Amino acid sequence: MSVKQRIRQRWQRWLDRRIPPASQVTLSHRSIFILPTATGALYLLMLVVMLITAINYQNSLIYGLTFWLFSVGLVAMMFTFRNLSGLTLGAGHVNPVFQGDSVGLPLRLEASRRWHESLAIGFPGYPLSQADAIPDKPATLILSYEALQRGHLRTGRLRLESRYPLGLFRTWTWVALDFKGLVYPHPEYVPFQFVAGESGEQLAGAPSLESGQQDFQGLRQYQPGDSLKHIAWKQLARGQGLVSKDFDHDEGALCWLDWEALAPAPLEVRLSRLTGWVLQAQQRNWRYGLRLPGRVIEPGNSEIHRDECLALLALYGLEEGNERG
Amino acid sequence: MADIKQIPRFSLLWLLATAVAALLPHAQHLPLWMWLLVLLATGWRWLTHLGRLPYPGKVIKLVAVVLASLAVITAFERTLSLESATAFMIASAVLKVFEMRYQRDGYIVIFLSFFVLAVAFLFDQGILSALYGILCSWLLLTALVALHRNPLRADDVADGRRTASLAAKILLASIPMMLVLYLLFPRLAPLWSLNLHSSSAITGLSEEMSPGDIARLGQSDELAFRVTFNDGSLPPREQLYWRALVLDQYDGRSWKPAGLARTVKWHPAGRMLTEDDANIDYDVIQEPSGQKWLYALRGMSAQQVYTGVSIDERLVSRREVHNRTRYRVISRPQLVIDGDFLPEPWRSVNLELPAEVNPQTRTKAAVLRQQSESAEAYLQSVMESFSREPFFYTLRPPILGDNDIDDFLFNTRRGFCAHYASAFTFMARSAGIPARVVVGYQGGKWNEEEQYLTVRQYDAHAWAEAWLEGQGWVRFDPTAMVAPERILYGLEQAVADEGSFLEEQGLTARALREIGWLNRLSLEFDSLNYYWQRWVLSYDGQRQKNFLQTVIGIQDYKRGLYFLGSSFGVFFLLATLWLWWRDRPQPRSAFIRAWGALQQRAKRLGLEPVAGEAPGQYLQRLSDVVAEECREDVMKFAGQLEITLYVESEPDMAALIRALKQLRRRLR
Repeated sequence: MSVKQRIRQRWQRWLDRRIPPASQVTLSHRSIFILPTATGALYLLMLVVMLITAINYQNSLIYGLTFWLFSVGLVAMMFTFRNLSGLTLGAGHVNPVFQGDSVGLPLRLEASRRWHESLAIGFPGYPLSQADAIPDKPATLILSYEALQRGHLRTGRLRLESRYPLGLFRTWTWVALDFKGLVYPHPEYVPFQFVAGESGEQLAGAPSLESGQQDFQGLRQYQPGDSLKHIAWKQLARGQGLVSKDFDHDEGALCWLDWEALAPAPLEVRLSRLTGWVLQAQQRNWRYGLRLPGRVIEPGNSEIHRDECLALLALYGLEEGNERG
Repeated sequence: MADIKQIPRFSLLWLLATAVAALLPHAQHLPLWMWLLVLLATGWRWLTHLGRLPYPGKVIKLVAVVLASLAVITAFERTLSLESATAFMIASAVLKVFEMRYQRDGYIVIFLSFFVLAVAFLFDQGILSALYGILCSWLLLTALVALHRNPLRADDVADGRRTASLAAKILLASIPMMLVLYLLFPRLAPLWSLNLHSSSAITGLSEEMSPGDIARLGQSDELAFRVTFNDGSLPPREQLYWRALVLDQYDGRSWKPAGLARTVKWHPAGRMLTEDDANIDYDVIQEPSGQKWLYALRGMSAQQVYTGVSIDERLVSRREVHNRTRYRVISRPQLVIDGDFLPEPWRSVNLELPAEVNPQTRTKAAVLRQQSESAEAYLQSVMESFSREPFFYTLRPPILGDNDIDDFLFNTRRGFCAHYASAFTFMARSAGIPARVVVGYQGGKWNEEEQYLTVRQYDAHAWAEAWLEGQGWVRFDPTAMVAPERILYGLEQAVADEGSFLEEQGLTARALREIGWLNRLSLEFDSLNYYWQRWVLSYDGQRQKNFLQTVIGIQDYKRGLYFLGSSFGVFFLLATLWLWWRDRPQPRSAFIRAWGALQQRAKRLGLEPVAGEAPGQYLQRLSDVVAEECREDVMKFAGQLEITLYVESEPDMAALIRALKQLRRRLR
């Protein structure tokens, strides 16, 4: 087992040297591997039978056909290699995602001069996607990937393979692409717990803990930033335009989401619960601040504010040096 | 993963079409029900493709296999011949077409089709077959490429065209290596003797001759063999008697070899001819005959391994000729053969006649012999009687009675060469002169431009040989007395009045022969085929050795293999260079270069470029990381860039590049 691991490690190190991670990779002889397939072996068997026929019947045309097809087999190697060589892969922009969720990684395929056809692309353990790269028509392929670790998104190497055009050879590469993206901690929804603020009050404006199921007050004009949940869809369907349902919410309620309130739970659990609170507080339109050891985010309420809090939670405790960026 | 891939929808059409295309060359020797099977299998598969029929279930498949095998076995009456083996192989290929569903089935169909195509060359190696083979290979490769295309993309005409052109490119790129292999790959002798040969009757001479047999050959214009004379010129036509068989046993109806002539002197043993201007040195390229006899002029000396001269003056091969072969012969037509003494049992065999047949002829022979003073004079008067009396040379000889030579000589007097040769030999033997019938070809069509002689089946001929003391075996051709134009110009002229030449080929075929330009075209095509045979098909072990020695200067096979290996190395090197050249980094514009330099500089400030980012966005981010005093420069440049790239109709790139370089130097 340990030998296996060591071999795998060496292989990874060798790959890292040979095909270093980048946000954009153009495939060349340095990064392309090629080997014959089982079909290639079958093809060779057919040629051997043909050659024996040619020898036993002393038939010049069968000799010719056999030699031609043999040459085709060798030339196919060049053409299979060519199908990957010169192809440029680029990592696109990735939206933040919660840990454990599936994320679509946009992969750009750019062909500069010729078609690169019938490419199978995917991460190990995931189904391969089929794609073609067409010259001067960059295409983006969405690869699904499960974000298992919070922090900066780190995908393993992705595999790209092709047997085009004749299936006698399989050519493949392991590309390390830098998909820049954040993975927020997995949100865990638990009731709010507050610690006493500096001035001793629990929560200014004192939102009720049951808040969120507030009373319906009426309809008002939609404003950018209104939650989708509050849009009055019935009215929209009747053609009355975009209107939001207005609730008697705890507008202006202020709270601190505090690391210490969750003691003595372990780090990841605390981060998960804090994430859940951030999402709930944002949904209820509270003004909320975040207190982590060594980092404080002043209260606020906006999408940007929420993302800032989530990013802080995502990266908390991960050493700067470990992160790629 | 690959094994369970479905066949892409668009490639199915290619697969069905090419599988059928590969079968077409076999049209001649496949029974009709086979085409029914092809139609049924491809039709069913096509309907499956359209969703009208399900994939065949296990039971249907089993029934199909059993029926097809039974059909093959019964159709060929349980004989193992090339045709039956081919039919069996084709049946299995067709059944595979019927059930193909996954990509791997596609592979098997394509590979089997390639093999079916190769087997077709066992039946015909002409230039048209070769061209059709190239077309088929191209189609099959296209199907193979189509099998690997992305099944998710909708297909259009441009895709099909690209696929076909890629297949063509692969084929073209393979040609140089194929040529090297064809020339240098060691041509081995057959690994084991295969008894699998075509069972279909090959048109040609047969071992037994009854009068009328050769007239049947007169209806065929199939190629028998071609000859080139190594000093270039055509010998006199009356010397062109190509010997194939000597028939010395007569049973009252037909002539056949007595079976005594098994003694053969194989090359290089046997007769040696001294250098002489009268010698004729020639190469024969013979079509497959399925027989051991070869074609040569009298006074022959074998010049090729595996060939020899038999004691009754014929050239023979060690093996049956199942493939087109080429051999060299030297002949001296004036050579005296068995001049002084005819040994037993030859003498008695060549005198033997069955008792009581053809009494009229015997009587006539006895009378004539008495009137003649020598054996030679007797034979001359027999010959003259054919021209003196009203004999006719015809391709439509009437049917003869029981004493057929009597009937012919005294009654019908209409006959083809075999009648005359048979009657003459009978007359000679009746008079006590050893004589025999020789069968072969006479004359041929001389191609003046390309300097070669084409001999076809309708040139088949029979003549007689008699043994005279001191002169040995002497040729007598009674046909020449009846129809001298047969010997001088050929059969077509000889039967011109009768209009019977190739009459069984139908009106259109004969009408086409009348058209001048078509005749010229067919002559051109014939010479093309001749070159094809002479330079491509007849390349064998011996010629390969010559080629290696004279053209490349390699003395042995070992060096030849080194040469083969190193030429492979050269091909690979060239291909690699070509790939590298095709994928070399593109020369970039000055702006892109300067922009790249700026990004490199910005990396030092900790700014990584993001793929797909617009220059404006990048500069925006850049302004966030640079020192305070540079910020304004960045924003200014961003403005200039937007204006130059997106606003100005004739952008001043030079100024932009200058500004870009300036910015880079200032960046901190």
